[in-house]
Amino acid sequence: MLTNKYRFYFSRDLPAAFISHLDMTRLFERLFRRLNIKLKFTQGFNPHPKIVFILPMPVGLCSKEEIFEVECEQELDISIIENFNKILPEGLKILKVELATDKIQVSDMYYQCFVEAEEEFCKYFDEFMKKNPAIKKEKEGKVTVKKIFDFILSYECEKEEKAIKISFHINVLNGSYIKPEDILREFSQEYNIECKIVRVERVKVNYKRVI
Amino acid sequence: MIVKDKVFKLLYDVEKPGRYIGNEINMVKKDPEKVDIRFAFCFPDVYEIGMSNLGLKILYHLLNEREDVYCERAFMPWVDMQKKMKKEGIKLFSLETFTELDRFDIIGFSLSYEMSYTNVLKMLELGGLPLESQKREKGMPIVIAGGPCTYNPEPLWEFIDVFVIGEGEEVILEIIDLYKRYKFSNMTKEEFLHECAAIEGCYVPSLYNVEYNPDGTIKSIVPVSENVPARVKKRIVKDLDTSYFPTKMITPLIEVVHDRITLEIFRGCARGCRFCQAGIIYRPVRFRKAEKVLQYAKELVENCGCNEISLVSLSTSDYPNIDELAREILKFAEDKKVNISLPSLRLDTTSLDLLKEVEKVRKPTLTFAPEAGTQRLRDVINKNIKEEDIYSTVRLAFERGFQNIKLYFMLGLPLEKDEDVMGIYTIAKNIREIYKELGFKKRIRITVSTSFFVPKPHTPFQWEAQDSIENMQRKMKLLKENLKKVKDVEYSWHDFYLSKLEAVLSRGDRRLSKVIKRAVDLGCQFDDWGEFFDFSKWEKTFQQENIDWRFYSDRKRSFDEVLPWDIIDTGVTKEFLKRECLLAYEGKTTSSCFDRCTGCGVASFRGGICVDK
Ligand code: SF4
Repeated sequence: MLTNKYRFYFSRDLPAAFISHLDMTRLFERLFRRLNIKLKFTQGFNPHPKIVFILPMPVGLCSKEEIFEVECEQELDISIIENFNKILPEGLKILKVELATDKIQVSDMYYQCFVEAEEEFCKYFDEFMKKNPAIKKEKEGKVTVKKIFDFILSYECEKEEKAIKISFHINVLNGSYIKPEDILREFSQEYNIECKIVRVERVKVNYKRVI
Repeated sequence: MIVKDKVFKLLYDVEKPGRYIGNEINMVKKDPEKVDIRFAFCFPDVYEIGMSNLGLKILYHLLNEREDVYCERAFMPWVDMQKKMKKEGIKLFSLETFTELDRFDIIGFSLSYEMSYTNVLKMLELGGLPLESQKREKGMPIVIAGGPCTYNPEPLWEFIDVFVIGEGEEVILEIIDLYKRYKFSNMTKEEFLHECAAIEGCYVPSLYNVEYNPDGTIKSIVPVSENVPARVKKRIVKDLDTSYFPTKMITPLIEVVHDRITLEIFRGCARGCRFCQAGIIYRPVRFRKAEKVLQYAKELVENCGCNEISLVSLSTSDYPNIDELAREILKFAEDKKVNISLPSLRLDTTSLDLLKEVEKVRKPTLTFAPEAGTQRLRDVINKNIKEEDIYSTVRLAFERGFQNIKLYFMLGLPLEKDEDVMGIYTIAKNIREIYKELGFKKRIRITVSTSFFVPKPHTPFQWEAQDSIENMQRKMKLLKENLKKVKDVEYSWHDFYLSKLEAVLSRGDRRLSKVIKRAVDLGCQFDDWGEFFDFSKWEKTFQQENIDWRFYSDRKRSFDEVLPWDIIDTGVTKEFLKRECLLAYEGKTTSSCFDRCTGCGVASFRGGICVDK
């Protein structure tokens, strides 16, 4: 059976970056409904549309290119992009739509974080990173510990005019990775340095096709 | 723009930043430079609550229909955001253009519940404005307020320039026209307020003097001049079919409390429960034609894309042929995966079938609000629900697979005896018995919730005393002990002190405005939120102002006492309220307006069902 599964490429910037992951799903459901596009829904008591984001986006994250896949009851025309972009809230933009005939996974990604912090920030940050610290995270009682350099391929800290820019190249292993925000948080706690995040952006995400 | 940038920097570090970004579907975008009047619609609670309010949405779009007005919105920021704003020196801002409150022409508050009064003051404060109306000169925003709480506006009298009494759709436009004349001429604020008072439905509190008797009751409320009306008559929209209703409704990006399209199918309620304020102030009943409802429903789904549409009113079953209407809507809604919800439906066999058919998503929960535990007391309050009907509906519901039953009651109603409290227990017990008799074995959930009776202005019980805290506590315990014996029953009760404060504020007079201000100074805000409400702070403020709060809550008034809200004319006569109160004492019921007119007085408005009779 032929399934109409589509891959939507989109970008996200402020203010839409402050919409949570769940709210994003609901927002797209509503937009599809407004455009009179019938989506496939799950069966059962509380049916919901089959919209899947390849990478969930934390609140506040901007991105140059993200992907969600959606199953439709119908075939989509490419002109859908235009209609979509007309009604999307500020910050969201559909870039490309394609039929999803294969499966993709994230292989690695590039981040840029901008923080407001003291002059010497980069010096201390380098010092911190050299130690290859571990990031501990607790979620619903489960503690995960990740060594930074198992996931960070490279990073760079530089002072710009208004803020400090920290770039990361992050590896994704079995769907898991380290969030730059968590690294920054860990650092600012350990060094007791106040660092105020003013922007976090995924500038590039690389995918690999899988069968 | 600068404010916007500053705000966005704060958002990485606050709870639910989506509250502060605006930019929703169907948000109105205008060039603020190109309008004459900038209006800030303020809701004194967080975004998720404010954006669930239908009145806000109606007025927001209505005002923005006008080319010369830009209506924007502001909500109460959560405490974490307040702190950050203070640190960065950002005043309360609008979500449309991130303009700070003190730069608006008019600020309009929606007063939906008394417990948000401190938030009103807090929002003015956060907006960088003087709290007292007197201290706001020409050039500073005019502060107006509307919504159900304005039916007793007195506790906020010092802070609000003009109260809009009744339905705001027409009045607000008249106020704006007047404001335009004021803004672009050398009219003084005083002259403006005087002219405002001449608009029907506008109450300008500063134009009235209140005198008190030695015992603290009111001696008189007198206008300062002859041109100011002695009583302010509420405004209504006579015909819902020709009145404004937005179908390109602003739709939040983040989940709000009522995350669905709300479509009003009628206004008012004909039942006349004696404790219910809404039943009086929204009289007369006015229906919206089914064709209109259907058309709006379609447009709303197209424009908002929500997956649920809720047909709202005070008593949904009273809409003629509600089944037919709901099924008509279902025809196109089903195809678009849109659900229909029918709140405030009276439950019987027919509505049960309807519910099953239309409300597909939600876990089937049956909700009953008998309000009182015995027929005697239900007659006192004129609540027309028979115990047998509950049981027969419950039986049918169990057979259809419903496993959640919710029951709402009030404790502390006038004439209540311990038998009535025990009656609640009996109902819960019998429902559990029925389930057992039907041979079901699985666990079910019967939730019993009680709130405490709050005597409300403009109701037949407006003169009644509220139970003392001790009595409330005793009755709650009595019920709790007994309900423990029934299997599968969960009992929850409303905070005593919260009900107390609600009673004080809803029947308060002008002397309370000082108390509210002091409470804000002491840090009271979000009083409706359990985690913030602190009655001891309120007690302290009352003490400091040398006022006994029991005077407002626990005291029974005589029929001839001048009440603070006597200044407001709902159309329902005091004679009618008194008659209803006396009937209550005799346990005699009054029929609904659908059966016959009982002459409440509101027919003088010449609208809705009263005219058809
Ligand atoms: S005037 Fe009569 S019909 Fe109209 S609301 Fe009053 S009692 Fe009901």
